[in-house]
Amino acid sequence: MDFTAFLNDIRHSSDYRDQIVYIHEVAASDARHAELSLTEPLLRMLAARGIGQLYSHQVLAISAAREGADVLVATGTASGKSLCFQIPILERLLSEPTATALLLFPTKALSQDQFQGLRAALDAATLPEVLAGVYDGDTPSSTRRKLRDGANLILTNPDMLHAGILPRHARWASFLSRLRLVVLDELHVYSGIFGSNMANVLRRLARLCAHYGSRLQYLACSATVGNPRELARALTGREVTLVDDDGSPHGKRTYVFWNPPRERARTWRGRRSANVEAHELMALLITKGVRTITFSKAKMTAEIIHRYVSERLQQTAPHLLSALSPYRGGYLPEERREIERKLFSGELLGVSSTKALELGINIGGLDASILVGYPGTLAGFFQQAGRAGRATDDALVVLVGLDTPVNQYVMSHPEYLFDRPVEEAALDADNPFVVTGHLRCAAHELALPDAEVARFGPHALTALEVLEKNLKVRRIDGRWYHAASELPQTEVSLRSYSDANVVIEDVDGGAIIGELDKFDASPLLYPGAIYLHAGDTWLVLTLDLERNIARVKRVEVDYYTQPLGGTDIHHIDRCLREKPFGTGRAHWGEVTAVFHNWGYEKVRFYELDAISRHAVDLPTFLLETMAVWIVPSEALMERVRAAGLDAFNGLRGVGYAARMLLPLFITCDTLDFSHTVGSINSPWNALFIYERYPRGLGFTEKAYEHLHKLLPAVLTAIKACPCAEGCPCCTGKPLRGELVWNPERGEAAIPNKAAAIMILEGLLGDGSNLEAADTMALTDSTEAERLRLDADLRRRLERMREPQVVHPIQPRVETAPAQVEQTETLPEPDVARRGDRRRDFGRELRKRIVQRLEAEPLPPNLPPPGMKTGAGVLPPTAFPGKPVSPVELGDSLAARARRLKKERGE
Amino acid sequence: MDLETTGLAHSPLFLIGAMVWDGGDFVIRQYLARHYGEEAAVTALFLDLACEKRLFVSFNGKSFDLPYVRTRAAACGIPCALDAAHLDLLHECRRAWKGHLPNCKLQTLEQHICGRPPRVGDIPGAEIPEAYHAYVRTGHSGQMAQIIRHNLMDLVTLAELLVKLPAE
Repeated sequence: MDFTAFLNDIRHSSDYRDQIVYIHEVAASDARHAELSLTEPLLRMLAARGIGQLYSHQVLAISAAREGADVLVATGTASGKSLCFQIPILERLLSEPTATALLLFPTKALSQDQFQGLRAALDAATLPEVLAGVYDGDTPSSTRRKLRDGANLILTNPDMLHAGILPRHARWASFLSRLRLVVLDELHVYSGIFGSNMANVLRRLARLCAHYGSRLQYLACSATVGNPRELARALTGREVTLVDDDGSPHGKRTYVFWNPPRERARTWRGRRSANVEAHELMALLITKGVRTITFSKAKMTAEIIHRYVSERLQQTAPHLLSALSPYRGGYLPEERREIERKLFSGELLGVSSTKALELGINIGGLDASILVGYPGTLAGFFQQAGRAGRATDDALVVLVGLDTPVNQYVMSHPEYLFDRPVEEAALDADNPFVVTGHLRCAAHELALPDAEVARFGPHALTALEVLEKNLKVRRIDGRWYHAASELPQTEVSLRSYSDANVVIEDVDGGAIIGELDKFDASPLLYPGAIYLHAGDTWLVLTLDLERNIARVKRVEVDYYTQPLGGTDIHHIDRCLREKPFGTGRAHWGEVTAVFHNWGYEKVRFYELDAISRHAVDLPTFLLETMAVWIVPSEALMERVRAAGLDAFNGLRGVGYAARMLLPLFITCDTLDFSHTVGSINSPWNALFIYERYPRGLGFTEKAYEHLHKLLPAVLTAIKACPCAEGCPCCTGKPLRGELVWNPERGEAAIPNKAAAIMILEGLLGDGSNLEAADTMALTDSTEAERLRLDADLRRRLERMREPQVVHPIQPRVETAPAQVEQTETLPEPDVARRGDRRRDFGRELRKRIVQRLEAEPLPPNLPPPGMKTGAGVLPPTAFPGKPVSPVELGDSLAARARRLKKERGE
Repeated sequence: MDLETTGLAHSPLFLIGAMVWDGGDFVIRQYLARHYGEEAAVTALFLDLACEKRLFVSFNGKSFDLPYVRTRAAACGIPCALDAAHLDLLHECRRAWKGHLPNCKLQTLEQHICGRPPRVGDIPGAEIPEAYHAYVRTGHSGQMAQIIRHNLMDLVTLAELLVKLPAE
């Protein structure tokens, strides 16, 4: 449809005037085709799909693959990347019918989706004898055996390869010995910890293939990333042929930057809610028949927007209600498949989703994509935006700005999104912590000769030596053997999340309505919480963290719940790097954070008014992670105090602003971090910025290295903010009335802007000492590094013996130390003496009273004026009715028993 | 034949005990890997021996021992061409005595069918992997002797069961 008219209407409507702050148009581009000679079955396959000619990038990729090169295709969404590996696979199967290929997709859903496409391609090319199948956790064991023994094409995910296929490689010997092609789809996902693990899984795979005598060729696909070649090299260890000149056609794409209007004069929460704006836009587009997808950042937001849109359409266009659906992680796989299928077939007009739908599941093209808030990275932005746009049709992308620093920065600097290279994916395949786990796995799979140790990076030897000390591996005759009884693969998780999922069970009927990661469960599923699922409200009755079950009951309420609580640094475990920074010092190292959800707030839908606040009793979670911390000089703190400003809250303001601006410097999300001031073993004024993932993803070390860029930018941003005393767009939101903050919601800072500016200016000084070298770095000498690795690995290995879940601390009243303190400071209580003194005191008091009475006697004991006395008051016996004996009035049980006996004549 | 392994499924094996009929008597051969590196040699020697024979007798060997040897041979890169007939005594014993005995574990059969007293000083199966890792580490043969004896007793019981099974 033509969105120009639609946008013009909006611009001229009185409701929405001035809300479009920027429009960016990308002109349509024509397809560029190229010729490629193909064999008869492949031509049949293309014809069956209605493809006449291949695009230029597909031809380039296929030709390179034919020559045996490792290929990486990095082009836009919906540019036909799947064909770039499907055709080489089919060609290989035609020329070598016994060949096998392994296709790796980051999620189960993707492998299912790709399997459908591949099966269709195989059938169209009349290759029915080729056995292909999805091999993952959902595959029944009978099918598993069939696939293992006879399949040519296996579609699976990295986790299954790591824990299911590689440890049982002997059973896969036949498959592995014929393995020729490895397909890596969505390569850009393999960044951070997942990528570092993936690189090591591929190292192990390559090792086993060499053992079984096969040589691999990699075919990879990726969305746009800043450093595709480097990413592929880091993952596969090979130089790849990069194909990134997109030859597919695109329709005109209109990017609209939509900033909710300011409703109130105040700067904090002054703008209308982005959810409200987004749902109005979505409802408007859907009633016009535009197929729309909305991306929100949180699962909760996705559900809320779905609910709002449904309720709006209920009034205006009830016939469209069935064409709406929410989509997010936590739904059952079947439900998700169903929604994907309906989207693809066009049954659904509107989907409110989290970024769970961002990955390349084929849902067909939609017309419009609404992004509630900037996704945090450019790659994510273009990925979500790319969901809109079918072939050469026009597409509309609306970015609704949230009331946060990054979003408002993007709203005021739209060129930031279009004039900048996409962020680079970062991974560290040689990270000693990651490598350690994989070395155990590798040694278990096949004894590791000394010559092969270097395959796993420069730290591998150290890690092996530490492992040997911990009795996990053993070196005999120049080969490293696994020397423990457990399966190491089960102890190494690729995604660094806890594996334990919390199952959500409906108490009425016992149906399982969903599953959530344990880390997500604590802020969403606590007794009393309202859990939103498919737009319905469910009341959480119990959360059993031992058995990982949450019981919920369907209720109809007009509110949702917001957890209260937050995280704080408890202590510093170890400082790993340190340097002077400006007039203060900067550090990077390991810390332990605690996370505690102590209550929740009921918030009414739409009005967002807090109704009431309740306490919950949940265990405290420990989080061992990495942090960067800055300690400004005490002299500076003194100056801030002398100026009459609150230094502590100024620091919090700096932390908030720094955390908010970090995503502009490194590939990360604001929610990857928290900030806090002080801990039990740091100076009171240490400003911590720490990662919210166990053991961190390397973001804070990058932040440590980029401090000289980050903090001056923070100072500029705070100064440039038009507010008077600080606002959510610079130093943070006002402090709530309680002592525990929720930094995730930015509540941890009093907007003490003046103090923040003074601290920053003082800290940065004249800007000369910002890039000093480390004065202390445990990575300096090889010996120091060995010691550090040794200690850390030891700690990790010891922890591995315990269950992998975070251990809740049972809050317990510590009585023993308090008693010890008392005996040290107080004299023994003298009981006898205390009795004497009480007696003395009583005697003394009586003596004084007598003396006083002798001096001035008391007045006669008269009743107060107005009180009836004497004849006016009747005795109890004077009341009419049964005569009451004095004994009966107030007699004791014994007296009553005696009386009863007497009455009975006993 | 009877196997001892260094851990859960897909871990290396370290001891293969075999009792063979050499024409005049039963002879027991136990192949022990003194460390992890000798697994390939153990497997190869056992396979050499096994390939000469025409009938295998085992206890649960159809689903455990033999597939295990095959996968380990594949992992070590040793060709494995076993085509002897296979008599799995677990299935035979179940057929004969199921319902008469509390279960069909080898040691239960040993007590009830062969009439031997419960083993004294025997090492429980679950402790064998750890004991072997300790042996490789330290070279102390104390527990190792127990394991070898455990393996030997299993083999003897196996032979005895073969005799006691009712003829069909």
